[in-house]
Amino acid sequence: MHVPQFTLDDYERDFADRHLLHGVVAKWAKARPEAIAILSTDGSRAVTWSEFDRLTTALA
Amino acid sequence: MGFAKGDFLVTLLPFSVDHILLEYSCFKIGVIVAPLDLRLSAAEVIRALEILRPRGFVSLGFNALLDLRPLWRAVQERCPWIQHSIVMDSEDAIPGTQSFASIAEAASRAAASAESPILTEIVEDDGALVIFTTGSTGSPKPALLSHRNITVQNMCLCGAFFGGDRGTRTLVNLPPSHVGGQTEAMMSTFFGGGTAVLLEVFDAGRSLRAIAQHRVEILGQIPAMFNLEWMLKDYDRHDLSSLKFAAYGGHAVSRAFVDQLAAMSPVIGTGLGLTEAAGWCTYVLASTADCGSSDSEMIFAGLGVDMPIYPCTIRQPMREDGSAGDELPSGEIGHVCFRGPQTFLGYVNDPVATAKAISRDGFLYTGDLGYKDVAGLHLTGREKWVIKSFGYQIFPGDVEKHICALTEKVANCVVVGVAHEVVSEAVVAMVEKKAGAELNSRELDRHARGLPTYMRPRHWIILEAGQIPLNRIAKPDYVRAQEMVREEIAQLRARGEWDSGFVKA
Repeated sequence: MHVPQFTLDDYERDFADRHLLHGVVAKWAKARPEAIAILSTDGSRAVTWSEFDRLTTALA
Repeated sequence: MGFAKGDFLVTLLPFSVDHILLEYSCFKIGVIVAPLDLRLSAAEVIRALEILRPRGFVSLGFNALLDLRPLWRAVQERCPWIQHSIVMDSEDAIPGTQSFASIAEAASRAAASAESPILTEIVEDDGALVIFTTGSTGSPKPALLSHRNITVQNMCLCGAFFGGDRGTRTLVNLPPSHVGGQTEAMMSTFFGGGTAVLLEVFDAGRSLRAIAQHRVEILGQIPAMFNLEWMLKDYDRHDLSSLKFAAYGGHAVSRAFVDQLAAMSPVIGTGLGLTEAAGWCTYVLASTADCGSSDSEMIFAGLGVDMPIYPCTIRQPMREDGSAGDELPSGEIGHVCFRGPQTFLGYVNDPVATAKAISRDGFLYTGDLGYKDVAGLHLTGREKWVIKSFGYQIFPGDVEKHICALTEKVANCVVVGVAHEVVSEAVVAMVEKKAGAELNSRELDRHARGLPTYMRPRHWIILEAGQIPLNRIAKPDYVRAQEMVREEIAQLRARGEWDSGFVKA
């Protein structure tokens, strides 16, 4: 099977808003705020992207 | 709490939601997180703390299942310079520590009062995460990874294996102390806007139940984890129909393994993963429909292709002036190197080891030997474990592969070289029998006739099932294996059954 290939240009041009680990969270908090980012396997906790961004900002 | 950009925070925790929130809050203020393996001894934890000298240390306390109070006492005695000792999930307070719950509560109050967070300017080349190497070839070393190292790897892995920005569900059941858990499974899932389904500590049954219950689509594990799942008596009862992709990494596998993996998921993959490269750096894919075709041959034979953003070359050894050796042509065996934005920043407080790993002109020397051809990268062994015998270079993996082909009787095998007066180094094989199998050295000698003479083991150490030394990620532990072999050979030598007194036909 073909493996998609990625270049430095791709990284700089198409993913410029995801160069920082917490920038990734901020991006999806805007784009998919209510989608689940983290789910514990026992179902006891589910954290949406907006909660992920808000809680980590508060802790920081 | 006084944490500043560039400080270290060491964690000794399972992969919990709070652990992840703590990590990402650190990233926002430039604090570098170093998650340690929960299975480390107190002495190993203290060694890591002494190397990193963190401002804070976070671990569990005590409850009905676990009591880390002795560890806390040892840490407080040996590392008095730690300014913040933070305990998660404890039934009672531990003297000299703060509870994570009280810190989180204070953070919530501050957020509710609309106090503006004081965020530091972070750039992509800043350090973010320290992962200790697994130590299969020496003492674990702390590899410092930047945001850029990790997010470049995330882009490639997410795009190659996880389907890009579709937002897939990935089971995260590898430990947080390993790139497999952190940068690969979890952060690459986040990169594509997906959901990390989090299992705090690996358990085969719970992993299968989680796949079924949460309709997990992506599964990446080391071979031992797949084997443990397949061995479960109720394996076939689990609904794994949601799986779209399953990958293994870590070490070479048998054809039977690849076939079983192909039965588990419609698309399978593997590649080379390196702590010092923030995770995956080569990739190969095969679909179930391709099994038996050239695609599945490729997945069995090699480690796939590199990415243009992080090219792989095969090179001569690093020169004395610290620059990279010349690139070798296709098919020639040499040092596996990479150059580009995934190469780590260095080993913390260890410039000598860093200079051995990264050449002056920026090539990462991985410590692996191998070659490239049209099918991609193939490894032939670790540089450190190449056996020099009869003037030949013997790659342990070649001998191990031949011995493990006795699939009905051999579960695992580790091959090492031991000093020998006649042949420089002699090959010794440590062979783990399958449960219930009968196996002796005569039978192994017969099987070894399929190898060139100079590659045949001169001594066999036959072990019962489960006795072969493995490291924390279930890879053969060559350091421990060599110690065990040396002990046995010392006894042979004392009896005159080694060196010049023993030249096997």
